[in-house]
Amino acid sequence: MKATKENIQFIDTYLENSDVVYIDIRYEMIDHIATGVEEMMEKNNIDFYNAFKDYMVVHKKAILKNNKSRYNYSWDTIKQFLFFLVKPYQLTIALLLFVFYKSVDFNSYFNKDFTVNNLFFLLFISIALFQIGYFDFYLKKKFYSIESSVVIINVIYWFKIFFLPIFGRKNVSEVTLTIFSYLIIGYVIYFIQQLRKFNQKQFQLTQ
Amino acid sequence: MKNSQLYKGSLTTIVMKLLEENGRMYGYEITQKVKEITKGELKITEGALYPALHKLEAEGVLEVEIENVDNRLRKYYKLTEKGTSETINRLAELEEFIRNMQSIVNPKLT
Repeated sequence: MKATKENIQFIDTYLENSDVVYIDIRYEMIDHIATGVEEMMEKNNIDFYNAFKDYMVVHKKAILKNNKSRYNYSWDTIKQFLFFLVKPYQLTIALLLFVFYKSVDFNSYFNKDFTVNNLFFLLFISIALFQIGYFDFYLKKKFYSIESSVVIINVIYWFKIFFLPIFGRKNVSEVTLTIFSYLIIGYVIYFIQQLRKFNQKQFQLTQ
Repeated sequence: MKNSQLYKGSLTTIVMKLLEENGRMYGYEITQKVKEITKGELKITEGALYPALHKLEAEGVLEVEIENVDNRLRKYYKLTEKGTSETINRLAELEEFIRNMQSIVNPKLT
């Protein structure tokens, strides 16, 4: 006995109402539950709704654990980004940035009205606005595989608050400039890579 | 998972070993296979399995294939080239761990 399209829709709605907000996580949970329920339907010769009820009594807690909305802040995502940053071609970018800041008097382009800190803040805002637009207005649905990257830019932002002089009273060193430019450029490249992977998966999903 | 503290660290190795033997598998199939092999002694929960699979996928150890099966999408996992060599290393580590534990727990047998 196989679950019908209506049965699958029922599981999807149930999970959505249980706070499993990410569609890609939900797809997997739907298949997992539907397979278990189908087995139960055959084994006990019962209809879908009774089998679903029996299955969820036993498995609900385990299914929802780690698969709900809070799932997106993970140390693994940050670790993955750190590994990405130490790849040889990424380190070459860091070296080039350092050479650039050493040879150009970057601080002379800024004053108290528009500090280096303001520039980085603008960059963060631009990235954040792009992501909000992409997630909320272009995709209109939540996907864990792409939204999990947001945690990285949040961490870089908090890191910036502690290391960049807020009021522009003193010049920012080449090392600090290199580190933050590198983190932001690295994040943009990383995010583009994640977007490409995500779009390939999306293509598979629509096949 | 039964005796979760003891098995927790070996979950990814168990998954990789199964994928090495079976080619490609989906989440539910993995849980049932483990249950079958261990005669119901070891049960991998959904809350532990999927985050582990997603982590391995993000690390490039696993790759996925998505198919439409019986009115729903099914995500199959399989080892990448990196994953295949990583499996060999992790299994060797696990075997060494088991040997060491054996020497401590039951020295007469070693």
